[in-house]
Amino acid sequence: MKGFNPFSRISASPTRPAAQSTSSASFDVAALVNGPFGDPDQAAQPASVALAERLRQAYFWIVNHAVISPHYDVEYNLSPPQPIQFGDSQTPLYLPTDQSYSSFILLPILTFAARRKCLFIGGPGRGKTASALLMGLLAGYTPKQVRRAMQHGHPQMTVADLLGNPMPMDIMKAEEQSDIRISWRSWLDMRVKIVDEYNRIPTRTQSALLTVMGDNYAEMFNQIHECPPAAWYLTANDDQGGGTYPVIEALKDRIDVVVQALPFNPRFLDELLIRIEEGVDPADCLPQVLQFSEADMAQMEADIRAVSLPPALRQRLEFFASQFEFSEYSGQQFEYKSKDTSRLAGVARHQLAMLENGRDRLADLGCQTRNGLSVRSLMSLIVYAKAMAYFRGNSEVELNDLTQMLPFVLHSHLFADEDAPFFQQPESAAFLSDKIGWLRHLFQLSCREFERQGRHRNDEVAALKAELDEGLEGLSLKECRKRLQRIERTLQQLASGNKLSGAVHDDAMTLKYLHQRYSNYQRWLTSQG
Amino acid sequence: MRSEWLAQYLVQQADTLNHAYRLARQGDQGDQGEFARSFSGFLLDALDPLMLALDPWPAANKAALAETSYQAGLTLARRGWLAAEHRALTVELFTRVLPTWLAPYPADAPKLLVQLLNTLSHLPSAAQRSKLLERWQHCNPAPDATPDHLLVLGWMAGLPEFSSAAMAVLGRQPALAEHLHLGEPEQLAHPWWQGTTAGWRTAPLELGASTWLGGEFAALPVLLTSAEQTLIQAGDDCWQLHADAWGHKLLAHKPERAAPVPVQDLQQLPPGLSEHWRSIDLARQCLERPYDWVVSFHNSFRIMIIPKSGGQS
Repeated sequence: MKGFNPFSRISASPTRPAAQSTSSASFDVAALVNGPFGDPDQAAQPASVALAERLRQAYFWIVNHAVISPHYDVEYNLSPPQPIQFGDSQTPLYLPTDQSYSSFILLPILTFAARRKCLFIGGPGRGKTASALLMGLLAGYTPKQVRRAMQHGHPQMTVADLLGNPMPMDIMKAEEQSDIRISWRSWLDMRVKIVDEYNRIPTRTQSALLTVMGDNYAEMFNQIHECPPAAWYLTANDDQGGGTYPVIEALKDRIDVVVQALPFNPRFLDELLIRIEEGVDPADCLPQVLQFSEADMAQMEADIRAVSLPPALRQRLEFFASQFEFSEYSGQQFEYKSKDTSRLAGVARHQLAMLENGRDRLADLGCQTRNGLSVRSLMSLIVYAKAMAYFRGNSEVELNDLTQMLPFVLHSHLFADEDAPFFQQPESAAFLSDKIGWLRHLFQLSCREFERQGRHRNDEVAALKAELDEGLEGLSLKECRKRLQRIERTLQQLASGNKLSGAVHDDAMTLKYLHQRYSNYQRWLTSQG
Repeated sequence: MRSEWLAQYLVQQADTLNHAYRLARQGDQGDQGEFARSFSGFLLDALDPLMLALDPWPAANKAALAETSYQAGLTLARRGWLAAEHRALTVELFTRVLPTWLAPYPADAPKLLVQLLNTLSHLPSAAQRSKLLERWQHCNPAPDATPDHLLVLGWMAGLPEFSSAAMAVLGRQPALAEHLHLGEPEQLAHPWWQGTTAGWRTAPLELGASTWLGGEFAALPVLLTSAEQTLIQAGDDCWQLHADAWGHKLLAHKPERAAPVPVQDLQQLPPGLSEHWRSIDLARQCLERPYDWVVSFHNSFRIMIIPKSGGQS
């Protein structure tokens, strides 16, 4: 008898239809034989669906059946949405004009597809662990397997609890460490790894976790266990160090994206009631067609990497990233004018701020943060923007993909400077607690400044760099001198027309690099005679 | 329960079937008790006779059809097809139409059932669904011919938007036109021809009303034409008008690239048209089309379509 899974019914209509053609006089017969009773072809056997479509189906299945999540905070628009103003603060509510998503489900799904690391934060009982469990089910594991493999952080958790135990008999007999065999914990081999309440794990065990998370292997008694590539889900009640143990910085830095569990809307209590009365647990019955094999996951990851990031968007991202690390009075030498220099030296931020006299601390975005962007966070941002484009069925990243993903990726990587003039303004005060909103606003401000400076139309530094990227081979001495002169001229223009800001600093550093490359080449050409 | 096989199937699959049932109930905001009553009635009065009639089939085919029918039953319950006024028709479908039609096609049965139910779901009233089923019983098409039959019979049951696709099918299959007594191809091309038995439709038909009377129009309806389509605009909303002898419908429409042209306000009535309305009615626009006139009344927010008499264009 055919196996029957009642939850296997998935909407026959595409989850994200392409632009609909306008109605014509004749109708496709498919429109007639498809409808609420399902897809006739699926009634016979499940059709094979493209991976991206299956990923979207998984998202909608979770949103519709598994998690009651009426928050649509990742907004997409085709035309400008009309704001509806609420309250004395005139808080606008936007009704998106394109398919929009709930970050609490979307980000974990993207993490699953791109095999990255996601941290759920939020108070107890908001569905953090339940969402992580659903991601395990997507990888084809049974609920029992996922629940058993979930690592629950607690203050007595040892490295052996996390990774495995040496065989007792081997400990007795072994003459060398390498003779001791380890009984590795089975969760290390799973394609979805879940660590619940990771901020309750003792520091030493956190370091062992860091090795598994960062380098994908576990080590004990000189034995190495290689782990398969996996999507990671961690949960914490608090992201500000409120757990039992402070989370080590390196472990925090390994987390690609942070999702906040939003509060339950009591208007949806009726759905909870039916679940209780009927004993429904949809998590037990994920449709088979929504389960992804190892090959599927590898394919999805490859497809996501293949999504292109247009140069125009990359320039915006470069401009945004260049704003934050620069700190004019942190160092004497040009290269050391970074926030990291003063942080390493233990110089207080307000002391440096007192030295500032030229730049507009309100307009300069760099003044809003305590630190700059790490390379890892930029890589995560690019991967998630690509994953978002892939999820929406596009082969190219759009500006909104970047805008929407950026706050979740930079949530635990870019920190606000509470003393910055920006946060002293009454209308910006809420941004100190709403980090997602602040980061999104920050990127929008950066894009506005990018356009104001006309960098999307003319970017001399980018043009010079592109010239170098074509290669030096066959470049004549005359042309080399010409380019060196152009670099020097551009540097002069940069220095004369601008206050020293993060973007100007990075441009100057780039030009210095180009100058070095060309002048070394010129020396070599001259020595060749 | 008369079908022993179905009884066993329900017991074996109890857990998963109960999950499906609960899931369907989750989304249903109506009376939960009524939902349970109507669905159990469906199992006993519709699914049971169907499976009894198909008892000689191999178990795998029966299981596939039972699964699809069970799911379909849950959808029927949610859509109100098992409520008092529609129930008789649904039971008739499962006890009389399906056993005869599906019997020769065990492998295709789930697909055929879903196709038929989906087509029926396009028809809003039980009377229209009944009309389709009545004609269906006379055809009982093979799996390959089912989509074509659904298209033609769906159009004849009141889906005028499918008329041009149905015409194309009838052009390909003259035998089907003959079987349905639809007459000669040149007659078929006329939208007000109802076949050799009923002849021409001459009575005008009316559609639309203001939203406060339960209709579509939030503002005065205005007639527009665009690329051989008749459009009706009321406020910000726009519809395309589909009307022929078999039915009429307003389908939401986005104006295409070519901007629609408004129809001029009425200067003078075509002779004889006004006999179709009351003296108090105020006709504002009149559009002459090849086979009919479309008149909009601004005092009653309605549209009237008057077929040209005698079948001449």
